[in-house]
Amino acid sequence: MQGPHPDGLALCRIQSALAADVVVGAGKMDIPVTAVYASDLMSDVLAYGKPGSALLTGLNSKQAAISAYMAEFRAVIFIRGKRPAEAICKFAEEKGLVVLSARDDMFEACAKIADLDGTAADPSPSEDLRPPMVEEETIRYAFLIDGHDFASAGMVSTQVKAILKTVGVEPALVRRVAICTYEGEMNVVMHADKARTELVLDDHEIRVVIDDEGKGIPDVTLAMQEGWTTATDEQRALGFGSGMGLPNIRKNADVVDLTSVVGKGTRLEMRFRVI
Amino acid sequence: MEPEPGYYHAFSINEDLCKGHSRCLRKCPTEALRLRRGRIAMISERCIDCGECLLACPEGVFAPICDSMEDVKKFRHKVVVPSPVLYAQFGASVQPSSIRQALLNTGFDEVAETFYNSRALGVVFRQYIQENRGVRPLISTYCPAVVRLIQVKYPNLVENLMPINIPREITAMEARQGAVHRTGLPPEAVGVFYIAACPSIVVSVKQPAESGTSRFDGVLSLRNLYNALLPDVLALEKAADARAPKESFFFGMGWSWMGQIGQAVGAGKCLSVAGLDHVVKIFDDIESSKLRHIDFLEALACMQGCVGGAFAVENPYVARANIIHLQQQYGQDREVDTEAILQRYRAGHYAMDLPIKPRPTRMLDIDLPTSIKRMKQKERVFAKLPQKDCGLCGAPTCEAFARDCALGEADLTDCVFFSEEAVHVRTR
Amino acid sequence: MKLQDMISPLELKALTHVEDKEVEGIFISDMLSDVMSSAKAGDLWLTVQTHKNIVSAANLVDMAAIVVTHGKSVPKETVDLADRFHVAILSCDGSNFELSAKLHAIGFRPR
Repeated sequence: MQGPHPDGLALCRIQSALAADVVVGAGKMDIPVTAVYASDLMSDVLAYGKPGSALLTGLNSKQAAISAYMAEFRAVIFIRGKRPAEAICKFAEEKGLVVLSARDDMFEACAKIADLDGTAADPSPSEDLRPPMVEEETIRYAFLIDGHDFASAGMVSTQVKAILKTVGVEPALVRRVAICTYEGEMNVVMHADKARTELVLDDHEIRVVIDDEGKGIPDVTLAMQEGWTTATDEQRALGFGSGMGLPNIRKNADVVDLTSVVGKGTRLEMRFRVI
Repeated sequence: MEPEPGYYHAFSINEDLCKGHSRCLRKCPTEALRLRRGRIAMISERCIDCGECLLACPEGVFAPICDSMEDVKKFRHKVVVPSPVLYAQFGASVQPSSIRQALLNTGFDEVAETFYNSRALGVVFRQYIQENRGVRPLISTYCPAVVRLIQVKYPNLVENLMPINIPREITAMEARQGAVHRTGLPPEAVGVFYIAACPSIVVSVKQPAESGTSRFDGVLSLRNLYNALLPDVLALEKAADARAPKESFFFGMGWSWMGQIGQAVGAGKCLSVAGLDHVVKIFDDIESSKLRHIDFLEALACMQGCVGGAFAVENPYVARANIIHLQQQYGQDREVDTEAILQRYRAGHYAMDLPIKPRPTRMLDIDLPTSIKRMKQKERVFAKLPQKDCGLCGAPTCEAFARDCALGEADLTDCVFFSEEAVHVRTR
Repeated sequence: MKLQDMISPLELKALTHVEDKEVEGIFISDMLSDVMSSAKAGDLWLTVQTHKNIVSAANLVDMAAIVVTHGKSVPKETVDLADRFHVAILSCDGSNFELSAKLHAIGFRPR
């Protein structure tokens, strides 16, 4: 997983170090790989693997080739002399993956590759090569909200809620985020032309940012007060614009940051602590 | 993490009958079903026993587990409480007395009705709504599948569930007390059975959502009983004197199709919704606090309400027409004694035994950082999938499949777009 | 090489009691079937698996210890079982590959 070769290590060098057989992709041996991922657990390849890597595995199944393809790896190296089946080779060929077969066991193969370029001599990896679990784990989603589209209002908050529920965020917190996102979404539908919404989730915070293009809010402090509204009578007849939106957001979010430029747009950032 | 409690389900799965149509996968509202290696598998804690799979499967893979007349005969005094839906199954002109007599002929000693309690609960609901101004909307607990949907997918809405008991449970309690009083038998010698129009009722009796104990001793399926009742009902109808005075039978609103509970409540803003697709939309809105102005929500899992239950025989629209006829004929009754009902309400007669709690939610992995990683992995798989939701991998959607892969519960090789072998397994 | 001599240069964290054993070789695999068929007694096992079954597999083959890589959180039930069977579990933030490179760099050579 770790990337000891930021500039890439040509596959032919790995192949000769391991004295590996080239099973698929003889014409692509000058392609560089930027990291090596050594594992048999394919569900982890997608979670940890970085594009451009080579997969070193003892799992001789099509699952290995598909996972490598999905993780945008460049090569699969089967260890302990394992020879992949015809179907695996065919799949690799189609998807442009290089397949090698080496006789070493996993440790020997890792050690030999690490020896190339003398990386094994440096036991402390540089900053950007830190292993993934030390990195902060973050996931981002982006959505678009159409202004004036009352028919689809609530779609974004519903999607945000579904994502948080799937991850397993605590129900009460999901609810608070959903309420705030819904209120923010309604503000866009009522007052703006369109907005980009971003959901960012990491292990200590959920952040929802709604960045709209529209008329903006002249007095942000006033807008935060209960009952303050610029909704039209029609909007209010539909049950919107009671002036409770922003106060409701402030009640439910841990941190609210509202900035606005009249004539340009409004940026609403809501943060929620994850305990 | 707590050990996962076992969940009782009202049907058995006969894998040998499964031809792999995968219709059930698509119909399941909580994505609880999978086809793994050509065999149907159920994720137990997700199943809410709504019965959609039973209705969708042309092969009868899902067999409801109900009690039978043999179970009824174990008791010395046998009381039956029919679902209101039963009275709508034999045509509009059939008299309720014929159906009740047919029930007695099958071996019951007594027929107890839910209708008075339904009417009383209208008064109770109204009172509860007035007295409790906090949470809105309050949600009816009449439909067990909806209650379970909330426990599984909308844990936040558990606090919206109205903590009032349901008509059939109250009727069962009163019927047992009455029978004990009249016959002098000990309570355990009296068997009280419900005739259900859907499998979720069976589960609500065997494993109540509030984890208390049901007042029923068992549940019979309307569908199973129908064939036994039909010849008797027809014979009794034939023999009946058309000039006889109208029998004294009270049907009331007969809670069995959408809108009846809301109508019984009367006051305040009520909303009625039926069909799980629609219920889910309404629940999403409530979670975004969109429906704060609604006082009471009647939510039923089946299309049109209980008349659309998986154990119903008659087409729900015909049944609905029959219900309207019954309401016209037997809907009126003497004045309601509101004061007596409220007195019983204050004495706790209508209260639910225990509060309903959400089912524990499961993270994608053991902790949040790892769950986020799994989620990323899911999105990565999903992005590369064909996104045709063909279902051939055995998961209902590409999205569900990506999630299964991230959890290590499915193999990427199960996707037919990646491996032809998967096609052979699926069409075995 | 002694297990105790690896802990500090490899930045391993002990999750259970660790006896000082001689590490004869390194076995890297995430498949229990592979471990049971190919690993040798005295091997140090590097894996990303955390399920409690790893304890039984390591115990069966009589491995020196288990190192859970990638900084994965190990469930309590796995650690409890390991303590019961006197199987040492250590964890490290690095990957299988990175740890192999470090082992090679500190001069570890399989027997």
